[in-house]
Amino acid sequence: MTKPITFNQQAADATPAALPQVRMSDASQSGPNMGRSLGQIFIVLVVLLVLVNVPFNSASAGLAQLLPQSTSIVIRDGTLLKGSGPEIYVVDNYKLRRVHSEALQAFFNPKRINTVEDSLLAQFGQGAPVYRLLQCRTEPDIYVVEDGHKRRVAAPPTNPTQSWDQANFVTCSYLARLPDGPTLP
Amino acid sequence: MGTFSDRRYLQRQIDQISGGFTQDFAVVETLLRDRQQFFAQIRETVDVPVKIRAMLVSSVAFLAVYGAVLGSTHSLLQALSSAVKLPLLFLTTMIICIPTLYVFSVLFGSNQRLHQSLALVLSAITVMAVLMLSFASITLFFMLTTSGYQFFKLLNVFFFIVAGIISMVFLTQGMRAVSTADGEQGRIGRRLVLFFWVLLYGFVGSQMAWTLRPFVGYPDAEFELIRQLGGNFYADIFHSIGELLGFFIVT
Amino acid sequence: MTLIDTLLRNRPQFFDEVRQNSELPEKMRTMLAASFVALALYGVLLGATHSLWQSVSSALKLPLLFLATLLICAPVLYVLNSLGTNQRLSQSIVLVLSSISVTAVLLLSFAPVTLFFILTAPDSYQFFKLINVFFFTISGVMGASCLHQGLKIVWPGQPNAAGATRSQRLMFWLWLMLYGFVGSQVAWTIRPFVGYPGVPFEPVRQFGGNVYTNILASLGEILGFIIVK
Repeated sequence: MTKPITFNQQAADATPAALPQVRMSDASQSGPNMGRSLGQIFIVLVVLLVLVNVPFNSASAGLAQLLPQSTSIVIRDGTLLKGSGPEIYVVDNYKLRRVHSEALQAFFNPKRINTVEDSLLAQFGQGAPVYRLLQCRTEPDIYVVEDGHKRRVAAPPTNPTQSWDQANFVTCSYLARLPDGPTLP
Repeated sequence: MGTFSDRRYLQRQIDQISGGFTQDFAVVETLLRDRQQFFAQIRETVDVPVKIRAMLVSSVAFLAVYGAVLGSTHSLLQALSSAVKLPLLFLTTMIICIPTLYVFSVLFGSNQRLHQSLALVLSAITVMAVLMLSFASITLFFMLTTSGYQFFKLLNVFFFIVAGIISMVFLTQGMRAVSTADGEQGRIGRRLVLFFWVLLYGFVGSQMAWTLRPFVGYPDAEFELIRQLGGNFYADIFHSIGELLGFFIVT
Repeated sequence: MTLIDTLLRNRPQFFDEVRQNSELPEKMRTMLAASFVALALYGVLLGATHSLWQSVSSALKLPLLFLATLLICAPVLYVLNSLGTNQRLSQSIVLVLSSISVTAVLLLSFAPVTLFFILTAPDSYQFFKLINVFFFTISGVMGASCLHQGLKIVWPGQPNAAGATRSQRLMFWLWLMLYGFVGSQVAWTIRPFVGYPGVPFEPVRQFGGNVYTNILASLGEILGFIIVK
């Protein structure tokens, strides 16, 4: 197979930089810079790989292996959160409100309680506790039931937007049968 | 005086090695930038052994980097093992499939020598390796900041598919450029051979990848060099998509 | 600043200069600086509803977001740019930076509006997030359309063997989509930008998690309806 002269010249040169660059524009990449960028990318990646794999943990895990298998919790109005203690809180308007057991049964799904770290709970502001508010149709007072006693709520929420802030109606006889407890502020 | 000349010797050795690397990478870069000329040189059998060596070195290096990124999620051992396995995967699949390509091409009237076919296939693999190297930074970033195993797997499959498509474009163009020296007869046959050979390569390659598992290493599992379960590549991808969409879990 | 002025007023002239490769490093430096400043200033506003620390943190995070995404996606840009052309990377980088600059300057132009809402509607986290998403989207779309214009001027569709062709424009758009993809994950990783009211300042919300594994929740967080921990 006959080869043109130029190619023979190239074979003698054996350096890629001597490839004829016929169609060069002003901003072309050529000459000894060829391959340098690829080499730089390669070296940077190798360095990064070594860095993330360097074990600095007692369990000999590098940065790359440290990431927890985290499932994210969605926090919105109505999310139930629980810390290490027994209290359960509901998120309402960026505040945590402690939920009483009766309200929990009535308004929330106990299966959907997210257990989180106390540090996360500590980050939220505290709001008013959530009770199951009861009202009798004939009387204007609103009560909550606690320990078998009924406690009158002195300042019930005036414009409740959440479902758990709205009073449930019960029979007046039921309310009448319960002994009185101290009023709630 | 002794230490000074030692240091100079060391410096010269380092320069030589890095110079060698740079030369190899420079060949790869000409492949990327001016492929018509690259293929013309292969057609004229100019410097083919030099090209083959350069492409071998580069593709091994780049695929090793990507393999190391894949394995890093699990452990250092997995990173090293994947760094070895990924280039091994591509090159052994190529070695297994190349005789078929060569013989069938010759059957349909190709004038190519074996090392030309080798150079062409290797050029496709090198292009894939370069693309995977560039994707490596993105994969590394996702590896460091997310923890979804299925997402990570699908991201990688996506990258491999994109790189694979571009490398296939290179291969077909290269074959076409090199076989202009062959006769008109059997040209369509040669194109069909290439098409079916690509399918064959994909088929063998995916099964080879399945055999060489794991590359990423399922989290919380111990390091295993080769996973012993049976199964099939395509069923696993289907299952991954299913798990990501919440349908079922795959071990 | 005259550069930014030219970029905004007379884009064909700007992109003509880019096509002729005139003074690309200076252009890059100026646009980098300008976009950094503009994004940092807007970041101050983003964090202002929450606390001073949040302002400082968002002022650092917003430029960092764009820069980090650019760095992560840079190798892909380099390789896609080298496919079939003899072009240096500078033109591509100038194009990217021009689009980021336009986005940043447009975003900054919304700053008086944002400031107005901060002052007159202080307790509406959701609304604040919503209008910011709106401003970001508009600025981003304008940045992309400016880029589209620029691409047509800098890389016109000539079938040049070792120069630019239509496929180069296609590669650039594909890279831009990748940039958006990676950028959303970067933004997710370094959130919050707007502090969640009532919660003390946190530089980065719990690490880990992925914006794509639960798109609906992520959208909810971005629009301010919920937060995702």
